[in-house]
Amino acid sequence: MFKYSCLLLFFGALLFSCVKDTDFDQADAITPSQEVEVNFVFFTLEIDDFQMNPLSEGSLTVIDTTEVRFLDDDFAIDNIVAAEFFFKVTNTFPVGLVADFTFLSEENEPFFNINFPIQISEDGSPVITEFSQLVTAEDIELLTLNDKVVVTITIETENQTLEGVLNLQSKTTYFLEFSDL
Amino acid sequence: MRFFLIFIFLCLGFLGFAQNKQLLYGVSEVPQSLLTNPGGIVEYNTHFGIPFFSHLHLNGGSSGVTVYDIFQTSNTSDINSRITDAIFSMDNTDFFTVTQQLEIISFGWRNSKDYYFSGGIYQEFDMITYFPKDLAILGWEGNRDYIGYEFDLGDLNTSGDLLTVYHFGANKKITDKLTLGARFKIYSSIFNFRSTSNKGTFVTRESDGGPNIYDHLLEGADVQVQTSGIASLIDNDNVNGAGDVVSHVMGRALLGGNLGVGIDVGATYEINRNFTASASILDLGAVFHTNDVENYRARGSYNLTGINLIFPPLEDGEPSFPYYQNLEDEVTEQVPIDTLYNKYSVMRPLKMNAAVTYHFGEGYGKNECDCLNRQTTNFGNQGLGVQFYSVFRPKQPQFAATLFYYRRFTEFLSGKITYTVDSFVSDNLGLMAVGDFGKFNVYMGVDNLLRYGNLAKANHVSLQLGFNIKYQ
Repeated sequence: MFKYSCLLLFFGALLFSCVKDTDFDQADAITPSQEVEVNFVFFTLEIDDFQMNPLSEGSLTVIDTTEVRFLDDDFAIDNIVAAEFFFKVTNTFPVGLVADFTFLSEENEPFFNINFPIQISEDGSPVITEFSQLVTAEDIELLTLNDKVVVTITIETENQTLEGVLNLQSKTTYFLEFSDL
Repeated sequence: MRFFLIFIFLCLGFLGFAQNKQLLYGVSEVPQSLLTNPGGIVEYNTHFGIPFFSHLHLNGGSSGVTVYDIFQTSNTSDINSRITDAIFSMDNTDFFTVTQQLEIISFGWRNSKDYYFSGGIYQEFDMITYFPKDLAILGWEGNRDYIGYEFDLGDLNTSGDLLTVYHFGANKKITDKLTLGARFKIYSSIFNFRSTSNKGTFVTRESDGGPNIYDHLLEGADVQVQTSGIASLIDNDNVNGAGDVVSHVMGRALLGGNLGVGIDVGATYEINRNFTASASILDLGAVFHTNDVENYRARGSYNLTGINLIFPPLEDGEPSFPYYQNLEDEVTEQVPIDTLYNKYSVMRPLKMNAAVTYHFGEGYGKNECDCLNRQTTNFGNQGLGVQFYSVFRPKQPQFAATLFYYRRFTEFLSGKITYTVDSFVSDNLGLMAVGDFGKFNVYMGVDNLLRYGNLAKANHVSLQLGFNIKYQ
């Protein structure tokens, strides 16, 4: 009797083994969603760095450009669903300043822009300006068309002996969803 | 990526202790039990395995999560939240592993001096990947919620082998009580990969007086992947089409690849009429990877602070500094990824078995029990005992303990039930049936029977079966 029970158990287990209460089609819904924080640009400026700008009377400007090659990569286009830029500016200049970040495509067409004023330091002590700009899902396609950014800082003075220091730090939070694994 | 994830999660359901053959160990009716203990009892004078069908062993699974944990039908949670739960419930010592063995040739015979010689060829695939918890968290969630947390690159720990084993051994009953055996093995590696001694951390910290908001610090990174037999397979100049791949693999399987040597040793001691003790050490050896070797190593430390604009005075049309290219170059310089071709050796995963069996019961078949001669073989058609198993793995040895009951029902039918406990599974019930139909020997064993109602809930399932011809 025992041997028949064992055999029954053995072959029964083989015959009736199964995988149930599972749904492998759910694999299509696997969507890792990362939130990645990474430093962006940083710099420190003094008045000597600024130059006269013939297009903007009454002010001085500095301009620089850097590539951000990964922004228009297929990986970024496919997976970045939103982004948030954060800027922290420490200023001791006693005049107004404006920061402008214009993102350009490979053909140098501007598709996305961030612009914000920097608070004045009345007494020469450091004043901190924090600015965030969320790039929503509706606008993200405009951001990922670009592969470079032109940074322009405008100071509302023509006094090239003005004392002060401007320090800018920044980071970007990328919200990624890997929906097409 | 999706297929990779599915593959990983399918593997989850099938194994905890690859290579533990607790069902086969000590079952002397099956010639392949000599591969688990070359010093086992041999009850026949000659055997031949049916080529390619004499031993098939499949084993795979996970110590920390099951297929059901991920792919269950549920109205209360979605698959992404279940994956998140799994990532955080597992530890970096949890592992996924797959083992497969296919015996190609098997033979054995007893000579006039009562030595039983046996040999053969089998192919084996063995892979273990520890769960890289920190890297999984970083890859699944990103770093935003983990500012200040050090992600350990050492969590990356994986190794795999595909090889052919040529073996020949001898077994002899030295005294009335003691049987000894040994087996010499030549390993012919088809391919190997290994990344087991990685170091370093990656952390994003809020900068304390630094130039930018964060310090993205790669500290003391030393990540290495060793491969052999793979570079030439993916070299388009050498391999054109499936025919070339098969030819390449066959060449390496037939002693044309990297070779290694090893031994198995084992013994069985019949303590008294009722008790038997046995033990074996398997795969004490190494494979020496000297050709078709390609290793990759990334070493260094780096702090990614971002792009430092310096606003240089430029003429109209003059390009600015190549900040981005400079950054890439700096990373490459500080953390270079070298391709190396240095030889390396890999120890085989050393396995140890031990068992104590209490024999009892009457004889079976035509011979009635001769109670005055308790050494006759028709005593003790049943056995109850314990087995111990361990295998050395890259991070730490793994152990398993088994209770078993063996019974020979008739002259042609016997079976073994096992109950195995290891670090991860405490209710692994296995069953093996062995039939000797004339000279034809057939056996089949399966593990984790309690999960056969729904294999998706199993951490560990294995199957072993085979067909032999035996002559008494």
